[in-house]
Amino acid sequence: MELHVCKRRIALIWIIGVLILCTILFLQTLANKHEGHINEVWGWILQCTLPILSLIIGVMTLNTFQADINPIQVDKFTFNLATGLSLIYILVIGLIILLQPFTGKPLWQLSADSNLYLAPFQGIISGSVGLFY
Amino acid sequence: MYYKNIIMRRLYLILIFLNISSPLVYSQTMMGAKKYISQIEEKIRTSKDQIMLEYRLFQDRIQWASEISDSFNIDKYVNKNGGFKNNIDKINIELEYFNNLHQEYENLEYSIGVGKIEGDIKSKIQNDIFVAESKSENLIKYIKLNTENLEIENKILYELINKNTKYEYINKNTKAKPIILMPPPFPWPPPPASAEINLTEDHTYFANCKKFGDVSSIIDNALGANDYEKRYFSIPNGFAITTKLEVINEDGSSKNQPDRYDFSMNSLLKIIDIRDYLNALFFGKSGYYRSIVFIITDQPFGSSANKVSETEIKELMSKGDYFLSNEFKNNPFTINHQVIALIYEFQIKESDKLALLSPPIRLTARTHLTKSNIISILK
Repeated sequence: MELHVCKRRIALIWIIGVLILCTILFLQTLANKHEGHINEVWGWILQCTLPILSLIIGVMTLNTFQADINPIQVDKFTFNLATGLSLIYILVIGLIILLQPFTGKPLWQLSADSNLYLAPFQGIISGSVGLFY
Repeated sequence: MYYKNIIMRRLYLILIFLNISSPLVYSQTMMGAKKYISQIEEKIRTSKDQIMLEYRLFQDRIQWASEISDSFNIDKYVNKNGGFKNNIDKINIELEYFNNLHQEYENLEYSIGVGKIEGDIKSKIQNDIFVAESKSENLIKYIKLNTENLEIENKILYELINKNTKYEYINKNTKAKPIILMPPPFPWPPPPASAEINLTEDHTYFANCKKFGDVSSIIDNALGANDYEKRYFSIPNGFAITTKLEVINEDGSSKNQPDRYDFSMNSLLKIIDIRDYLNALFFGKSGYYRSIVFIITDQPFGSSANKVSETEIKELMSKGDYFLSNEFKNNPFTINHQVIALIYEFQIKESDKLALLSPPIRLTARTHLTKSNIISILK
């Protein structure tokens, strides 16, 4: 599997995933759902996604004008691992937002609680995705 | 006179030095005493301040004793070493202070004593002195009134007695010494409400009432029919009935059990269909709580400046009496008495930790009472 294909697929997963999450939060913000806690909620989502997304977009932008003369082949398992972990990570964040109405807790409180398990997870994802960029 | 003052001052200084725990008395005119009793109330709550409080009261007492020394004979009670001759004299000395003070100051409306008492104080109390026992161990409060007017007495006592204290009223004009148990006081004037309505303006609900008990039974029936939990409080020239804080629907109707008294966020808005879910996802859950307070009094009143919180309403409810005493129920309900319903409605949003008092624009008091089926039963 060629490296530039892997990069594009991982980038698409991240961009689409983060876009969906941010759209939901944006609509919630417009509806004043997080009154008085907007900073906490947006701070949480950006902290969870922005480091990896910045890495992906930054490297891809940098490589835009570089000719890919000798395409590098990537181990399929490594790619699947990075893709799978990325999907699970974005899904977990999405579930926190989407299942919040059933929990009885506000999102700003859930997000603070989730830092405990999302932070180490983010470290693993960074290692896995960073390999491709 | 001069030498007597000097002797007495010295005797009291010795008492302070020996740190004798005796009844302590402080007295002032009406305004001063009101201010002072609130300070005392605050201080006696914390035991660590007790010693300082006693010391301050002792200082006041020395000054006070010098002013009334002509008629007060301290030598009768205090021995040469500066101590009391016996425990009973600790009580007698207190009572003599009261009597002398009232003779000296014609305009004095009441005097207050706070202190630790050993022995059975009640057996030694004179006819026209009120005794209020604090829940604190051995702490006792005396009140003596100069007035013969029962209405004024009640007003003064209402302001003086601690919220958690019952008082025993001993009338000097009757040998029977009746005991009137007043409900604990409601904050007065009441905190600003979300909505209010005067139920006596219709001249239908309480037209035939002659006594407090009649009014109480009508309201009790209306509340009981709708499964309301209630408590009773005293207010100047009347009483108040409060309902337990309940969760209500947006239209003002009560929630069904078990959600009625479940204040968790999940019970406020149950997600049944996709519409509820999307509503909760994008707009957040919110809910309404309500407590109704019926005020029965002939005294005009407004609102205090202090807004009440959801927690304060819950705490207040726990302090009220479950029922009115028969003596209290026999108080006359006159043509001047009004029955006012105050609605305290709180709105809680998902993002907030505490519910906030709703502004008066949401629902009218009549809507609240109609939706809660209270008006229909009152009729």
